[in-house]
Amino acid sequence: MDITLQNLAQGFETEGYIGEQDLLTTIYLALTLEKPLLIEGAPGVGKTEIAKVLSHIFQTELIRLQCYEGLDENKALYEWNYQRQLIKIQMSKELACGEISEQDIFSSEYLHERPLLKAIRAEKRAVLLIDEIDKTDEEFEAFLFEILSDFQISIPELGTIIARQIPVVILTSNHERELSDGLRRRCVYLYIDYPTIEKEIQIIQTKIPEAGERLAKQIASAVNHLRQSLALQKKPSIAETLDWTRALIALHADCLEPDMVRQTLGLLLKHRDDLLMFQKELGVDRLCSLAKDAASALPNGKCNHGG
Amino acid sequence: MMPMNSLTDNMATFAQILRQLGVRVSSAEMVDAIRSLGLINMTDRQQFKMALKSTLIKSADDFEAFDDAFRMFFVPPEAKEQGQAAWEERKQENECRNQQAETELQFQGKPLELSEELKNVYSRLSEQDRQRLQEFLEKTSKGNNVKESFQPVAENIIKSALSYWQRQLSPEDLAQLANARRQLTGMDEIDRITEAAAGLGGNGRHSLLYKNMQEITEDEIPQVTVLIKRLAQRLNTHISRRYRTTGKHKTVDLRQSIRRNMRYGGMMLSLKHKTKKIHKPKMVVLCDVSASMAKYVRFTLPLLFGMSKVVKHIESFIFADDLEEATNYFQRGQDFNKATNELLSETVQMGQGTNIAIALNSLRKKYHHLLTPSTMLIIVSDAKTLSPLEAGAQLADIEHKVKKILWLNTQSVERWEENSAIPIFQRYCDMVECYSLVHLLRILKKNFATPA
Repeated sequence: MDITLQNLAQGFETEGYIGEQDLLTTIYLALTLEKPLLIEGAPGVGKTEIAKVLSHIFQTELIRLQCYEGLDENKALYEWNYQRQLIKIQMSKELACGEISEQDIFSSEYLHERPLLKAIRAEKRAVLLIDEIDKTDEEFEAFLFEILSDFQISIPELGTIIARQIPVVILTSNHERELSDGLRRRCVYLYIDYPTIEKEIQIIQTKIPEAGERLAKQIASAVNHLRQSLALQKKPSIAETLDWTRALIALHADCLEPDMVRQTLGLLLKHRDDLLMFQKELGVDRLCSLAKDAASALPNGKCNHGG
Repeated sequence: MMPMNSLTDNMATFAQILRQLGVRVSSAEMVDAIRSLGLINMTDRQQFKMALKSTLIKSADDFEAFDDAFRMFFVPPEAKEQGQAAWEERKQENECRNQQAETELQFQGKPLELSEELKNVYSRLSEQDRQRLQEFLEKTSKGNNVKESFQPVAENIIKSALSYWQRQLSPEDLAQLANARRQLTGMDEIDRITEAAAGLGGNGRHSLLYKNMQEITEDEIPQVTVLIKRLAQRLNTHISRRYRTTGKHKTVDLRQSIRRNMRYGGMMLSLKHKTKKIHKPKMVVLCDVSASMAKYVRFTLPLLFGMSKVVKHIESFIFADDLEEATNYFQRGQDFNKATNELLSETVQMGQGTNIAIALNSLRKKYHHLLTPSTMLIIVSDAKTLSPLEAGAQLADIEHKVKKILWLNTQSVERWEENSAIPIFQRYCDMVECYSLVHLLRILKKNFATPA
């Protein structure tokens, strides 16, 4: 597929990802400049989803490196199959099949390919998702941005491996730790904020068509109100809105009813302090009535909001 | 005026404006930005803006500065000329004001030596207040046996009076003063937009981050507390130099591996690894709640609360003319309002005069077990105290016992030279300005982002 803004917009629409023009322009630039795309935003706003959508659009493999504290080069890049090498040495001794050379045991056969190496050696331009980069330590980050600059890896026993195709690299961060300037400088930057009510209605209706217009509007209004009016420790994300919608549909809801909201509130608010604050400052009844009022003020028909 | 007839010139000027606003823009990013413009439809303003934004701005905290600078810089030539004319007018107005201060504030016919900032403060006073200062100077000039050498004394009195008035200025006036302090580049286009964009701060998504904490309102406290808690989270993931054995791969633990592989006749089939262990820091926080710090209480108490929520080994104290333990008020699970109400109703320190020496002495005597080589002592105070020399001596003694003393000063660095105690304290601690959440963010990043 040729990379143009129009094609990208079409691809995202086909994949059911509601993206504004600004988001698409940034992704388009990252793809055409062949630079990694660093996406920041609260958890659950659709950062990881972008990598999945891109892999579908380009019909290519999605290679995922899930970051965690203590992640090192062995888990991210490559590792020699140490046990297999030892067994090979032992066997060659016991079977007396002659001396084995270094090349015999340091060949691709004994190499555990990890996500970074896999992306670099891929035949077709792959999508490499480096998820939650803020969870790793700074050492790993420094190692990573060297790879992302040159797209080549040196394995002492094998030599330098240069990327056949520069992969599409998507890095996501929940901003739990400040990333280094070096890494930021090498990336194109995208920040995804919580959606507007109109956009969230569109997302609900696209992802869960069973949700009627009235319910979608009320849910989006309620979630928006929670995000705006309460200083929550963990604001409900789009993913949580969708989970909540599914739960309400499972309870055969066609509009927000206090009892159903009470039963399903745990899908939206996941901190004890947040639940206490909600009960103290807002309450289920008031949330339902505010959401209904706000939803009734929205225009009828399917929202056509581009951002 | 700078000739701006090419895209590259415009881009260079725009990058300079961003840098003046505190946004880091490297040459490599400039190259990316210019390359990106060749890939989009430049006549589409939104696409043009996004191309620059996604290649030049790498943190959401800088979006506001970018949006303001973009809106003011990329305008039609007529609007640019209008803006330039208004800027010239303001510059002239400022010069007139300073001239007026020089003419009116004279001692025996000689103008006083005042900073541009104080002259600016003077020009913002009411007619009546200005008159009062002039009368004072006139009277002292004509006093019996008043010689020329008396001028520094009169100058100091006027400086103190103007500093007092400066503290009473409205936030808008203070913002204008801050702009006046800003280093000008001498290039009108850049200075004009930088000043205008910097003066706008405070409307965006992260405005609370940049707000001076003495100005936060009651209803912003929950947000401040949540933000502080989020910032303080990184204290919990401080990585130590020490290793612990782990199942996760990191560094081979030879001792453990040899022991484990004895059963395979010494053949290293099963390796044991070690990784850096997460260091949970020990912290002692002393928070000044004296009269001069009263206006910061909306920052300091959420700070104590937020840190207590996320840091396990933390001991908190408040102090004014002595030390009072506050750890129990901020225990986990406790509601912020309840905790602060209890603390405020029971403490006797709130609003008292400051004597840091007594507070530190109490810390040394009563809580000496807390001062260990792995303790970080954090002091939150404006450093305005009685007996600064004694306080310095106490600090020197504590410095030998703890890992580090970090002093978060709620006064801006520009004001530090007015406080003679600060150079004494700086010998024994790292003192940093901290009157907004963005300062706190930078401090945490600097002190806790890298392995100890």
